[in-house]
Amino acid sequence: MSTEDDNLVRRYREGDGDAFAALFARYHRLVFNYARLTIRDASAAEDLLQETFLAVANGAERYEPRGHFRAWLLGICRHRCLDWLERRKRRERIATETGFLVLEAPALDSPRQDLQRRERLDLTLTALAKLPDTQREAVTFYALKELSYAEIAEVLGCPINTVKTLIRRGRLRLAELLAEADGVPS
Amino acid sequence: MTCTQDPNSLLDYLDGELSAAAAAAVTSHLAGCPSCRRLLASLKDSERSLAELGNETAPVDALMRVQRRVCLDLGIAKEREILTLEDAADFLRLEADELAEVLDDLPWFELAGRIRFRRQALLDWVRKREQECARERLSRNLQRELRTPA
Repeated sequence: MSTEDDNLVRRYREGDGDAFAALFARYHRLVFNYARLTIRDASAAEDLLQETFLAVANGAERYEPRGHFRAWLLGICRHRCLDWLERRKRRERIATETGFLVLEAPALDSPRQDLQRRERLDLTLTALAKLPDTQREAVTFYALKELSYAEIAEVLGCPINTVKTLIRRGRLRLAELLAEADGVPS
Repeated sequence: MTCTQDPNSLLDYLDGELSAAAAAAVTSHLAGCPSCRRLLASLKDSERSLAELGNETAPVDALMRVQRRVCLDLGIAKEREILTLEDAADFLRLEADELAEVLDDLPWFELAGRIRFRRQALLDWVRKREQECARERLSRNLQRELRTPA
């Protein structure tokens, strides 16, 4: 719980642009990484980061200051990511029906990074994508290491114990999928 | 023989959440169970990858671009009058390498060995380019009409 975030939101509501810049500086990396992990498209994640912070600015009046800004912020980003994934699914369906080929966006773009390491991370992303939706979302938040179980529960709208179970099951399933990808029977 | 070890205990073992006695029991089980050793190795591997993915550094230029756009949209930042190469690429919605390709057509100037643009000059250039494109379109349409038999 951060009352400092609440103070920044309050200052922004009162017209202090620096307060909004401070919120952006504090959370842009978290939001960008969450969006990038969720939609697996760095360029679109940039757009979603922009949309999320614009929505935060426009919705700042509706925010109830009870120390949950991070969860509120990621909730906004999550909805935008889910909409984006839904639109992509629609585009892919239309492309399949009309026979147009759609090239899948690269998982993450970082050409200078070590190839083997990159392949391993892509393999993990592919395995992550195979988890059931709720498990995948919970494991994504777990990977970001910044949110408490209570905050993840607020974003996902489920009890804390469910979050814990989802993360445990997701981590185990991910390990099994990676072992299978390596040709080791689980 | 099938292993009956609860995989959850391997997670607790990895997270260091077992009592000393329970951890010792898992260690001893692992010594004789290749399938649990494989699962534990895979768990460690996926934890490493997840940590790396969650911790990846976002591209600074992209983040700065977004911050600037958001602040401009909200009216809490003013447009800069003098632009760098990166600013100009963002202003024209081009990638940096695309901007480099058309650089000689653009109104840039040199200052202390660096390339700079005046925002207004870029806008004027865009307007001229719009007019050129409109003329080209008109001329193409006209030629097409002339070629088409009545």
